This record gives sequence, C-alpha cells and structure tokens, in this order.
Amino acid sequence: MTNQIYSVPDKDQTLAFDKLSILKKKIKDTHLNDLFAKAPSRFKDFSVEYDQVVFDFSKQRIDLDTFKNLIDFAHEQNLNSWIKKLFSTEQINYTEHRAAMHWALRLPKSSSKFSEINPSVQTQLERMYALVEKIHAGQFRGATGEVIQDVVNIGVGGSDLGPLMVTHALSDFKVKTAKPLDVHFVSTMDGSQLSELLHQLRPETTLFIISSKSFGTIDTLSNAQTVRQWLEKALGYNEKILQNHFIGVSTKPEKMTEWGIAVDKQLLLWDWVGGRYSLWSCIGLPIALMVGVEGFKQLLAGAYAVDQHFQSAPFHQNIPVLMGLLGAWNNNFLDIQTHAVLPYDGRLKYFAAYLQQLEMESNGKSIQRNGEKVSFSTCPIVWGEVGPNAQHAFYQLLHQGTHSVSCDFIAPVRRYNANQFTYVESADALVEQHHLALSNCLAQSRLLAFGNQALAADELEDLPAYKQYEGNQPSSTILLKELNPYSLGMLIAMYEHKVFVQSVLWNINPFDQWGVEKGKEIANQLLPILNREQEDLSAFDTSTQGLLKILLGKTDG
Amino acid sequence: MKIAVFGNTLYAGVMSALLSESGHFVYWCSDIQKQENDLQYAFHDENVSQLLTKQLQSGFLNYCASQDIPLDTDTYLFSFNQTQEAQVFQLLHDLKQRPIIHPKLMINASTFGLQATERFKKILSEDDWIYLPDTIQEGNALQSLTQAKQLIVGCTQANVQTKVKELLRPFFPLAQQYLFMPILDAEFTKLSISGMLATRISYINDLAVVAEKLGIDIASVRQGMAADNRIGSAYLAPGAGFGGENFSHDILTLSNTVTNTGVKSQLLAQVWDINEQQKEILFRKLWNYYHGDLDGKSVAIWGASFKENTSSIQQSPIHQMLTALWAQGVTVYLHDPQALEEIQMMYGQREDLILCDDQYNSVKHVDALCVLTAWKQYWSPDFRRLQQLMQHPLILDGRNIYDPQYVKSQGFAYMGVGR
Repeated sequence: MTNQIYSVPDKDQTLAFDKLSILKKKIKDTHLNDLFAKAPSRFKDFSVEYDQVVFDFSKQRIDLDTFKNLIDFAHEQNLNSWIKKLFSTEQINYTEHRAAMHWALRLPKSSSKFSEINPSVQTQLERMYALVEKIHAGQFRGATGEVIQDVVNIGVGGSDLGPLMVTHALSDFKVKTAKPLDVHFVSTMDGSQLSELLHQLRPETTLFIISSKSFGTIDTLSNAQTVRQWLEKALGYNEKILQNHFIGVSTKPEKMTEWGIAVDKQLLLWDWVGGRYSLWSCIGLPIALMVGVEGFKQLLAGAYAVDQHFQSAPFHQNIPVLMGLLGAWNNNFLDIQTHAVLPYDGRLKYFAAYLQQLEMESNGKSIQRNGEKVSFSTCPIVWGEVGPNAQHAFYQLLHQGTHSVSCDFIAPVRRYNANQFTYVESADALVEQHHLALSNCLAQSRLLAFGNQALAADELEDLPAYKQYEGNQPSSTILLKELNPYSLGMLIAMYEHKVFVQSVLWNINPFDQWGVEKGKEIANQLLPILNREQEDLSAFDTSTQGLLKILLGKTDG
Repeated sequence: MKIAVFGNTLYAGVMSALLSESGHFVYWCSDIQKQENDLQYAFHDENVSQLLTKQLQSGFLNYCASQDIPLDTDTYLFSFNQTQEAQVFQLLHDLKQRPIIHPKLMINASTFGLQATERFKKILSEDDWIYLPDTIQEGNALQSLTQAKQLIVGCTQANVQTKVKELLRPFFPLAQQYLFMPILDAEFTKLSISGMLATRISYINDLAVVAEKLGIDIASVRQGMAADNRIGSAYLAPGAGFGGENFSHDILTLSNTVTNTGVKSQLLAQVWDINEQQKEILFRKLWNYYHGDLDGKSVAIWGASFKENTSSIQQSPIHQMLTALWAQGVTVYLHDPQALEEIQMMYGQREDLILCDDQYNSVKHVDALCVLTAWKQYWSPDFRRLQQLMQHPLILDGRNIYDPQYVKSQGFAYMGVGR
C-alpha cells in the first residue's frame, strides 16, 4: 500500500499514513498484554459512551500514538468533507448518478431541513403506518372479508435481510394485535421457503408484501407469481385477489400497476435509497408490523441520533469513525483479513448475515473513485454467528488456529426487564440465562486478547503446548443498554456509517453493486437453454456445456 | 324471614320481587357504596320493574342503604357482576364489623368463578354459606326462575338445607325440586351449563357456514335436529353470534379454568373463536356483495342489544359490526328500541354513526339493511316502504327471521345466515 493512491489535497500529504506504516512494525511485535500493562487507563482512553451505546475498543491492538495517527489519517482523507457530502443531495454514488440519502429516511417529521425530500418521506411513512394500524386493528381484509392474520414478505437482498434481521431482533417487542398476526419471509428464487410455508397458510387470511426496489428482481417476481396462482386456485380468478392480498413496495409505481398491485396498496421509495440501506423506508413494513408504529418510529429515532453523532462528534469520540478506522488498521496494517461479528443475544441471529451484505456489497470493490485499481485490500471477509453458539463451532480456530481474526462482541446490558407478554412468565430464570451469556461474552474476549494470561497462575504450570493460548486477537465490545427498537436503530446506523468511513479511507464508491448486476444478466443467457427454447450450446465454455448436458439429460427423465 | 339482597343484577331484582311477593321482608341494597335508600339497577326488564314497583307499594320490599340493613336480618343474598368482586369483599368486611348474631344464611349468587364462595366464607366464617347459580335468562327473567324444573343449590349440610327450603318454599314446595350438591360442584355446573349452550350455538353456526357453501338451508337442518327429542330446539338458532355480559364471561372463565388445569382441550376456545367470527358475518357478506368496495357507503342496522327485550349491549355483535364498517369508511344508521342510549354513551358523537328513533328513518338511501337483533318489531316490516326508501334493496338477515322466498319476491337481494 503506497500513499500516492489516496487523492489528498493536503500539502503535507499522508503524513499520518506513513507514520502508521512505521508504527505497525512496533505494534506487530507487541502483545495486547504489554499494551495493557503499560497503560492502566486503557479502558478510559479507549472507550466511548453515547446515548444507549458503549463502544469499548481497548482490546484493539493500538496505543495512544497509533490512535492519534489514525485520527490524523481520517482527516487527511478528508473524511469531514465526505461526511458533509453524504448528508447532502450530492450524487456521491457516481457510477449510478445518484445521491445516497438513506439518512433522510430518519429525519424527524418536524425537521425543517431538506424540505424538498422530507415531506415525501413522511407521506410514504404515514401511508405505511395507516396500513399497519389497519392490520393491527384486525380490519385489513382478504377477498372473502376475513381478517388478515399472516403477512408474507417476498423480497431478496436489502428487501429481505434488513427487515428479517430487525424483525427477529425485536421479537420481544411484538405488539399485541386484535387478532393473532404472524410475519413470514420468503426470498430464495428456487421457491424452497414458499413450498414449506404455503401449505401452512390459509389463502383467505394471508397478505403478501412484494418488496422490490426495481420491481424487476426475478427472484422476487417468480415467488410473487407462485403465490398469485396459489391465491387464485383457492379463491378464484378475480380482481379482489390483487386488490386485497398484495401490497407493493418499490421505486416503480408503473411496474407495480402493470403487475396488478392496487394503487392504494403501493408504497414508494426512491432511487437515492440503496437496497441494503432501505429498511428505514417502507421496505421496513414487516418491522412495523412486528413492533408497531411507535416501535418503528423509535428505530428511526435511534438511527437519527447516530446520524447526528456521526456528523458532529470529534473523530476521537465518533463511534462510526472509530469503527471504520480500527477496521482499516486491522485490515490494511496488521494484515487481519477477516472480521467476525459475535452478538451475545440470540435475537441478533441474522445480524451477521445482514452485515455481510451491508459491508461486503458496499466495500467489496477494487476500483477507486479516480478510476484506478486499488493496490491494497478493501473490505475484509465479514462473518459471524450468535456468540454462545459459535463457541461450539468456530471459536477453536479463533483461539488456537493460525489466522488472525478481529472481532466485534455485541451484548445488551439488560434483558427480560420489561414485563413483555412474550417472556414475562419465565422472566426470572431467563435473566439468569442472560447473565450466563454476558459472562461468556466477557470471558471469550479476555481469552482472545490475553491468551494464557487470562488463566489462573496455578493453571499455567506444566501446561502442555496444545493447551496454551497465544491470545493477541483484537476485538471491540459494543454494549447496548438493552436491545430495543431505539438502540437497534443506533447499532445499525453505526455500522452503516462505519462502512461509509472505510469507503472514504479506501477511496471507493460503497453505494453501487455492479458485480451483482452482471450475474443476473448471465442467468438470462442460460434460462432459454434449460427451458429448451434454445439448443445451441456452442457459445458456452466446455465446463458449462458439460453441466448443461447433465441437467438437460436429467430433465428428460 | 328478613332478607337482605345486595347487588344490582337482574337476578337480584327478580329475587327481591319474588321473595317480597310471597311475604318475606326484603331489604334491597343495589349499590353498596351509596348512603341513600334509593335504587339503581342495571337491567331493563319491564315485567320485573312492574313487579318491583308493586312490591315497593305493598311495603314488603324496601330499598335500603347498606348501613340501614336491620341487624336481625336472617338471610343475606349477594348477586353482583363479575367486575364487582372487590366491592363484595369490602361489604363482607363491613358486615363482619357489625354486631350481627351469627350464624346467618349467606347466599352467594354471583359468578366469580370457582372457589368464589369459599373465598367469601373465609371472611364470614361463622355463617352458613351456600351457592345459588344465577341461571336467569335475560328477556325471560321471571319465568326462567319460577318455572325451573329443579333448582341447583350448592349446600351439603342438612340443617342449612332446611333453611334454604323454607326460604324458597313458595316457588319450590317439593323436596325433589332441590338438587343439592357441594358448593364447588355447583359452581362448576353453572359454568358448564353456559359452556354447553355456547357450544350448541357455535356448532350450529359452524354448520351454517358449510350449509351455505353446499346450497343447503340451515333452517331446515335446524328444524330437523330440533325434532329429535334428544336434542331439542333451544340454543340452536344460527345467527350473528351470542353475546351478553354474564354468558360471555362464563365461557371465558370456564375456558381459562380448563386451560389452567393443564388439560389439553381446545373445544371451548374454538367455541369462543367461532362466535367471535360469527359476530362479523353480516359484514363479510356485505363485503362480498360489494366486492370489498365499501368506502362511502351507508348501511342501516336494526338492533344493537345482544338480544331482544334488553338494552344491554355487552358483548353484542354490534361492536364488531361498527368497528368493521367504520374501518372501511361506511356510515351506519342505527335503530334499536331500547339500546340507543347505551350506544350513545359508549361511542359518543360521530359523523359515521347516526342513531335513529324510527326504524324506517334509518333505511333512507342506504346501500344495505342488516338485522342484528330479533326484536319483535322487525319481524314483519313494510317491505314496500323499505323498497322505496333504500338506495339499494339488500337485506342481510343476521337472525334468519325472514322468509327468503318472500323477501326476494318483494324485489330484495336477501342473505341470511346459512341459507
């Protein structure tokens, strides 16, 4: 990695970057044990509290010198002016000529800023809230007049992962509805989830959300077509089915109308919302169905709080900036190529999957904004799992394998404290289980960081090599006061902005996804062959030809 | 005997009237928190009211504040609504403070669920406690008590049974008219009776849905079933669901009791769900008729009380109907001979609810007429007048009180329940 690759206007260019390159040699030979021994105030120096979140990065492999230079590095990369560009209508997604204004979705209704967008955002949210209230009141009805009791979200990528993750994470905040209401998710194009789900549902009482930013995603439309036939088979072919069993969420009203979604059931979003940043828009309808209108507003308010923090906090106390810088430090200087996300809360089961899209689809790029190829690594491999379960799966590799891995530990301080009807009967026993999870969370980050040092002295005597722990695996710990709509909104926005910070450090555009678009096109070349509409295989490579022949042979039976 | 009756239920009213009519001195305290000797009761039954007025004049019946009940009263009867349990405990503690010579005959006639009489007995433990189930039928109050074949009494002590028989001798002179059993058994019996009746209604309603799909008239099926003397015709009319505060509460109490014993039984929950579904049935028929496009339409509803001859709207299907219609943007024109005041109290002034004192006024320019309660005055309407007044001649008969052939021949679209 050389300093020329960064486009920096400052005159004493990339001083910090050079210094970091030198500092890394020192740090690489220093164990976290030594860093802690040298600085008793490490936790105080390297942790930030903001609103409902504590971000502790004291177990990262940095010292005060590194820390200062990382901050300088951010300044050198003009992060300040990039943040201002993000929070403007400027088309920073230059390959698609679009702004990236997902933050505008969380502006308070009363905000006087961005008066050209905010009213239309609020209008769509209000329309969504009205639908939610109607469904919750048990007054949204299917074709036969029966009350809707199951809602199936059909979408993929951003129209699936975000709502799925949040809905699951906030399951304790499920609101009571007039009639029982369940929300389901269907994404895969092969119909696996649909085939499992449909036979459990009643057509009369099932509502489908067709969620697709472009309303052209084949995965979603093929699933939508299947459920339409399922409804028509049971309820007859008529207008009432389209009118009463489908809600569409898209940027393309004309395409929704063409498909048959009734105009009053069309919820709109805008080109300036990236799919993976869209859960704050009407794409989040399944979330609002779970946690209610007030809960959804809390989610937005949490994210808005982080938007404010990101724009105003000095870098050394700015959580998304610190997350981004530390990620780059581990990735580009300490050569740690993978990053594990480990929530100690089963409700965050889909958080890692969600972050995989957010981080890897955003920063999995290798062409800089100036058109040149990068000569350094960009987004690390992001992976993870609910911590306590992962302890029985891949933690062995973290503790004693040959890879360096950085980790984010995430845990709520309190749980089972709200008398919520879903758990109140067993609250006492569940609180103890939560304490068990918390103690595991702390124990694991200790062992990863300090290795043998974390063990008791008498244990260490005569310990065979295969029982030794090297330690020195860096991690951050994010504590939420509790996992609620507000704090989850904060957590997600923190990662969104972290991704943006890194894109600035790496000088890439995090808001396009051309690698994904191409794959869709190539599938279109192959479909006619499998449907036997076209027979000439000569255009394909020999491997694909071989596979196609088997597939075609098999379908011959 | 001197008898104190506490509570403002229909049962309290009937017992006060009947007991005083046969020569007992009855002191009725309808509201135990009031200091004056006047009356406030929560039922509307003309026959009972008339009898009460008569008894008051005769001098055998006195309205009485709690503190004015004579100390030498022999029998205390407690008949309260389910929501008033705390008040009863307060009353019992008050009575305990008074210099009454125990034991007295204490009759619990309130349905507070199982073990309720036992809980009362813990406070006034020296007295003789019995349980009399309130099986009174609203709309047919006096007869339903006096003409019962057998009276269920929760009481096993022979000396107390003698007191009970003396108290009720004017209505139940014969020994075989008393069915004595332990108190808990009697409490459970009371709930089980309500459960059985509800089950019959939900059963016929469930069949009605099927009959409709198969083109069968449920009215024929019902008559056929009723002709079988093992079944009979009571509580077998399909319609827009059962209601009533006490009845509904019994079903829920019984259903919870079953659940809490850990027994896996879903029958009562289903009975309840079917009934809740049924309360909306006219709405669904309307929805289907207009293909889900109800916004801006007007609908007349005849009947708000949960059944005829009462002004009670507790658990009546009117609530589901109003909520559902309003959610679709429908304006409702509502008529009921007695219950409009209660509706007004509950819903207040709204643009989409117009209360009509005349049943024909309510149907002007409406797109449909829903009959929800089988008040006698709805049975033979002036169809020609309806035809002229209504915007669209559609009649939804939630109680199957009309002859479908005749109504159709008068130029109406007609839909009943299960036909």
